[in-house]
Amino acid sequence: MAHARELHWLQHTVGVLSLSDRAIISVGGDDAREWLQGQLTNQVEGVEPGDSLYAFVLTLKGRILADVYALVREDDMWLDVPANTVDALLERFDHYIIMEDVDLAHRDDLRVITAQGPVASEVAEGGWPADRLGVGGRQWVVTHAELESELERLTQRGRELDGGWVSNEAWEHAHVVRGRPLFGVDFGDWTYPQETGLNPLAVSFNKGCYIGQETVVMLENRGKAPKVLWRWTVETTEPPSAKAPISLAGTVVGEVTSAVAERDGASALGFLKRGCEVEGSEGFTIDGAPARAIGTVEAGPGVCPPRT
Amino acid sequence: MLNLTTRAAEKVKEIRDAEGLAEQGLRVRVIGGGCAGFSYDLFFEDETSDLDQTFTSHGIPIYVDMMSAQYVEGTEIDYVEGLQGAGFKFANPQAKQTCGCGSSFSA
Repeated sequence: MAHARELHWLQHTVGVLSLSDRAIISVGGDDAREWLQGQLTNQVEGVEPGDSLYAFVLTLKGRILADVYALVREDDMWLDVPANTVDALLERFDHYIIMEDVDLAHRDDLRVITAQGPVASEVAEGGWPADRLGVGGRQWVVTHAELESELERLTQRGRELDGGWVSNEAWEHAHVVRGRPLFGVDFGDWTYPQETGLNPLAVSFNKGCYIGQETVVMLENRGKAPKVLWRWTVETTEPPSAKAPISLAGTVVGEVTSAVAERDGASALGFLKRGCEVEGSEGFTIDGAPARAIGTVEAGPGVCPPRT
Repeated sequence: MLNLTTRAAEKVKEIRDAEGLAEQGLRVRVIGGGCAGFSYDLFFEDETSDLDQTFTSHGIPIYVDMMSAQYVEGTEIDYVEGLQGAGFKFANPQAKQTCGCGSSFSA
């Protein structure tokens, strides 16, 4: 199986990599925290320097503009965001600064390195907690000039902990295996928070108002998400492509968002339409191959890891 | 320009007197956030700056900073009481839509 060794590290020891698809936006000023409270879906109050917060930035209609790791520092916050959303986020954030003392900047001199796995916290001091697969994780922000040397240093420490460097391909593979959807791949501005299964990690329902909240609360209390991300296994030698149809008794009931080859078939993430869940999780096909619905992303190991 | 209804002015005076803030003005501010993007913020204040627009409605000074002013121009502030609660209600001609509780708006 491809990436077997790296997947083992990520799930049982530690894998280290540079997250080249993430970027840093700094948010400073006296009103930064109060202002961010109105922008992010999770509770900003009470998060201390050295801690972090996972959240979404939503559109007014409640769809996901970006996922964010807010890294709290003494005097400001660094928002770790998808690199391809930086311009849209800056424009959006700037629109909602009226007279508040809030300073925004794209820190394109900074890069993110992460260690993911049960012993990630032993890799190095400092940084912020950032569990991206449900197995434990930490991340550090370094300058572009320091990136290679810091990545080597942290990787060496990972090797000493029976782990090592992880490729981007293995990283993406791990998200499917762990059932942890990726922004821009499995969810994005076409999805509501409830559809991703990430609500337990990213959304607070008692923090008060934030942009897009009304839709999120209505979906939670008065309706249901039109579709929900599930984890799938497929009996096939070739993993299905993104948007491959998921069918039940000849009717299309969803579509694949990402899939990877496994030792004895394929694993996938994909949306299942509301009302199409079946007892026993059998009877589905993906691209014509027999498929089984393992469970929702929300109930899976990438979001709700079993207690140890 | 920004106005208070008679009911809103009476309520503002009542709160202001109860809190011992007689002669202070009402600061009306727009802040980023809230379900629909922008939220209203009301509080008493006795200082103004060069960046403020100042109005008087029913004898109550109203201060609005120049950035907030563009979002609340022409707004009438009422005070309503009902079974579901009481509070100041903003009739804002600049608002494209408001959230269900009326405390935030988009523009």
